[in-house]
Amino acid sequence: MPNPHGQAIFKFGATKLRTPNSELDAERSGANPLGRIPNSEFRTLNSCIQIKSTKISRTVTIPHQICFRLDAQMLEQISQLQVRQAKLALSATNLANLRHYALLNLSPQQQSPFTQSCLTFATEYSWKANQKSISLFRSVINLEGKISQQITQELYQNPYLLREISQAHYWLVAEILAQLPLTSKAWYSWLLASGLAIAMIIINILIWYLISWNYLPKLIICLSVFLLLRSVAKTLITRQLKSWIIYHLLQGILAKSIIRRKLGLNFLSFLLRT
Amino acid sequence: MNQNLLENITTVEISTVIVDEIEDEIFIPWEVYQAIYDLSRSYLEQSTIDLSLWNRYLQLRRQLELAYCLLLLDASSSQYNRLLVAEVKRDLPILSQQNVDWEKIPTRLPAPISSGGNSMSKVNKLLKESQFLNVLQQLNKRKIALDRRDRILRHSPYQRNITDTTYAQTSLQLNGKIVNRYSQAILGRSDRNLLLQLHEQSTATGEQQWRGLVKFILSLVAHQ
Repeated sequence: MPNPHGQAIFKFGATKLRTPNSELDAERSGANPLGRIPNSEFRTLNSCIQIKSTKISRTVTIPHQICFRLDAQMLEQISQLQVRQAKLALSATNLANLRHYALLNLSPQQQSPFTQSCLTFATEYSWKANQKSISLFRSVINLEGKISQQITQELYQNPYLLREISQAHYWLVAEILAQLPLTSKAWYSWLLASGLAIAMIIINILIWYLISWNYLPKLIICLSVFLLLRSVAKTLITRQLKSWIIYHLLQGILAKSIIRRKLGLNFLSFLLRT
Repeated sequence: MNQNLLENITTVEISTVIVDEIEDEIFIPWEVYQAIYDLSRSYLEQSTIDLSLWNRYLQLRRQLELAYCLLLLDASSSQYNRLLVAEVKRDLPILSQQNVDWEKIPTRLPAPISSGGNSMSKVNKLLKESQFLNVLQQLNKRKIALDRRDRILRHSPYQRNITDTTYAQTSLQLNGKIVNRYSQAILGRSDRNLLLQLHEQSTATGEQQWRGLVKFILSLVAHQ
């Protein structure tokens, strides 16, 4: 849909497309994620993404859907980003919350009877400022391959808004899903690999100089120590530690606050790449 | 569990629905179990539910019974009952069919509310079975859709009204087959093309959305 205000607001040349991760890094470090796209634009977009939860008992709260609260101005912004093929830079807090929601509902170790093995994305729209927003569009994506796109009669009867909202809704869902998978920055892996390598070298040097045997037995001991440490580290990291973190992200100590979730998810991302 | 789930997926099914209102759907297993358990022909006769939907409601009850019977036969399930295997196997072909014969089979499902505490603890145990919960969740979604449809039918029994019913569905099968199903009600409508366009868009994006979900799961399990 041609946008009458597009050129007036954003006069960009060829915007260089970046991967979601590089944009995220830039956004998190306070830099401008997309060159000339103002940070405030992404902040506004981030503020419209919320997770709806319901308290079903004194202790149990279920996050049941991701909600996009949009208005005409937001639709305009999204439309501009789509025209420029720009990516949405999710804030670190939003990303941690979204990953937590996804983990809670889709985790391979899910234990709660309230988890749904599906993700729900709903778009709410308010026609006027300070007016209560109404759910108009919803996607329910089930891991078993059942996808339901629901459109309200009210929206269907307004073809212009239907087109605007469906495009914005699908774009936001696609952007979020593209950024959900846990990834890790390369320098983390290099840091760990270097740390482990230095530790191995120190241990082997100590063994070499402290044990007064012949070269061959010392060589065999060093090699055995190297293989043993490697195997122990791998088992501890890949199985125990990852399972422990996922468990605590779902219902343990890492689920209690956003800061802990961020920490847990970052550590999990890091472990998944080691 | 999800790793096994992914192995069993053979079809991606995308549905498009025009709904009267989008309500929050909160899945509380006990409530859903009780609501579907109570469904029977006599229950429907006493209710105000539209006659055209009775069979679809009863199918929900049949599928709940079927899901439980399959658990009784599954040696890896906590519900496995060696003593009932022969008996359940005998009833399974009847339960798998959509005709009315299954209604004659006495239910094996534990009652959600009964005078004895034993039955309730059985329900609690049953609701911890992830396989059963998945079925219950699907049945819940269908029941919500049926409840909405019933409300619409009671208020405007117009034949071409497609609100709160899936008007188009596309199945993308692993063997390459693509099956499109359309509600008969859209054929005579003047806005048919808009509805089809809407479904086409929802199919294209729905498939991508599901792929995104799978990528997230793979990012968790691939390195474990």
